Amino acid sequence: MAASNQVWLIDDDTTLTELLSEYLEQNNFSVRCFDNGEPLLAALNKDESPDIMVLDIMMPGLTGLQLLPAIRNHVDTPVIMLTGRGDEIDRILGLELGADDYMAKPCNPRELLARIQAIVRRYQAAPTQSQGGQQIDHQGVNLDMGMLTCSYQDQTVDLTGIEFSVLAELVNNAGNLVSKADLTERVLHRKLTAYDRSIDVHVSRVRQKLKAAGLENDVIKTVRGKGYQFIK
Amino acid sequence: MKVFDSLFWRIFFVLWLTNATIITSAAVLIILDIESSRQQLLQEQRMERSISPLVGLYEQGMPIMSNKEQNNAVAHFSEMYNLTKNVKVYGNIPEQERHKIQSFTFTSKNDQEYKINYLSLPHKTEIWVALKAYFSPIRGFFALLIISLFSAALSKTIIKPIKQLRRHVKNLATGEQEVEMNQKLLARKDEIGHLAISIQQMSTRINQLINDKQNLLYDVSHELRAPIARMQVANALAAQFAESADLPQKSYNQIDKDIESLTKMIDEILTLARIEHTPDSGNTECFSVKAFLTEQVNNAQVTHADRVINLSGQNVEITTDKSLLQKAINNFIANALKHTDEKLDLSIDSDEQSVTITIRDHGPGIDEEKLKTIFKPFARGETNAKGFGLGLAIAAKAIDRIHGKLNVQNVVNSSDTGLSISITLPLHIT
Repeated sequence: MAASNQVWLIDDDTTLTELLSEYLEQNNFSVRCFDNGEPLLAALNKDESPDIMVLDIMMPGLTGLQLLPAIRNHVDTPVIMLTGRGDEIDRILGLELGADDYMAKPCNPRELLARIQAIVRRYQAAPTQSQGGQQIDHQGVNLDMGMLTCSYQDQTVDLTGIEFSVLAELVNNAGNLVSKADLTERVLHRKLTAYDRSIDVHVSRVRQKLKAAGLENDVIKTVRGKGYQFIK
Repeated sequence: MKVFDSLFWRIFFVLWLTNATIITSAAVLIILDIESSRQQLLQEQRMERSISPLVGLYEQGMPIMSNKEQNNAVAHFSEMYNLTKNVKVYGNIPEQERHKIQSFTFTSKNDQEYKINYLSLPHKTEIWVALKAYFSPIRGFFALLIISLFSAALSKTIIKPIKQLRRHVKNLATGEQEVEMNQKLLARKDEIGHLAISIQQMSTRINQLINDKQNLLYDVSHELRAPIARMQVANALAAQFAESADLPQKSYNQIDKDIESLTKMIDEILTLARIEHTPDSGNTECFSVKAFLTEQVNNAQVTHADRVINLSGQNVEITTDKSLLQKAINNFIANALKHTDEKLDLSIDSDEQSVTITIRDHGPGIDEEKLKTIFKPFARGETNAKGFGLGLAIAAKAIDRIHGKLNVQNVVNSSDTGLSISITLPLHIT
């Protein structure tokens, strides 16, 4: 088996991070813990980066929400946020700032593990070779399924892994409705629960990015209460 | 009688009656006194009239005989003096009667001054005749009017501060809003002022206690999250060790389930506290009720795909805090789905000012007794039901925050039972 994937845990509760790292190490991850934002930024500045980060929002000093843009400036590493329970605003803000997924804390470590594995798997499905893979083209939106890159009229649209997956799912089913439940399952590898707005936020970010790249029509149609459809 | 339940009218009537009695009595006494002096004056005038011819004769030398036969006007209990000459003219009042003597003087045609002592003749003063003679309806009317005004003014000065205090205490009781105590009341140096100060102290203390309670619940719940998070990981680790050592896992699963319950309960307590605590965000938006409800129904069907949820009624636009309404509707729907197996009916009714959203299930309904308490935290419909009894409390609180009214009732008719929860919201928050 290849070298174990590295997880960075960023949380001020060191007892919790110790326990979590023990748990993750049991499940073949190597773990590094940070108890605040400073050492994390220092590590990022040294061009170190893990396979995935688990970032707590409620931290003294730099909060998770303040760190997230800084992390995004450095690397595309997927980030799972740990939010306070019920803090919906934090969740949505986090997703909008480019987090890939969130979990409410206290969280079931088995579920956290499952999500970490799902996201890591998705990111690693991206072959790192430099030549492009299968190309999909719709409405001027071009997806390179090998490089996992997206462009609109030769202009690169900078999508996170999750956003790329969302768009790929929609484009692959262009003209058909993709339900929120299916989208959640295929992209986030978990079941859609009631009031889970993660997918909506990801879709909305994809839309914004496409629009910023110059795509004027909204090619992703919302079917209220059902799901999304990429216009053919 | 209803009027006498009011302290104002009671005080008013007591004052009014007292005043009216005093004034009437005084009037009667005064009238009687006036009447009696008038009678006396009349008597003296009569005496003077009948005696003046005799005085004329006396001055010419004729004696005046004080006997009744000769002179009816001059009673035998009288005596007359000539003050000018300082001689007694006639008569002699017995010694034992002298304390009752009344007297008057008069001057004859010849400028002689006379004094007559007499014993007052018994005379009857007819009260009613006298009253009739002196009573004027207009005066009576004004007297009563003044009494009424006076009584009303006095009653009002007593009742008004009590009413203000009552309003304050009522607000305190319903917990609707915190009201500032009227400064004028607090500045009063009298008993009412003291009462106002005491009530203010009480209200400060009550508010403090309520805040403390809420803060405590919130803080405790908040602080519990960290140890629970650690416990959850530790338990997962232990479970994993057990698994690798091929040991039974049942107890770890139980711990896991209980941690989940704890987490959910904390979630709900925090949500409730947050709704109670956050000041009005003013975070309102205008949206269409039907589309909004459709979304909630779809959300509910994510987890309850097999259940039938109908939505009926005309659409209407509403301006309110969407997230609070969403929380409430979701909890009501979730509650109905949890407690019943039949279909759910959602309906919209609206008039010009308000919209009523009704969530109606077709389950067995709830005991009338429990109906009153279902919106209280930790009240449960059935003892074995899942959940912590906070869902409906959260919903009710959320509806309260957006100025909605809740109405819950059992539906019982020949073919059907169920529970109907109606939420009436103003279309625009003013």
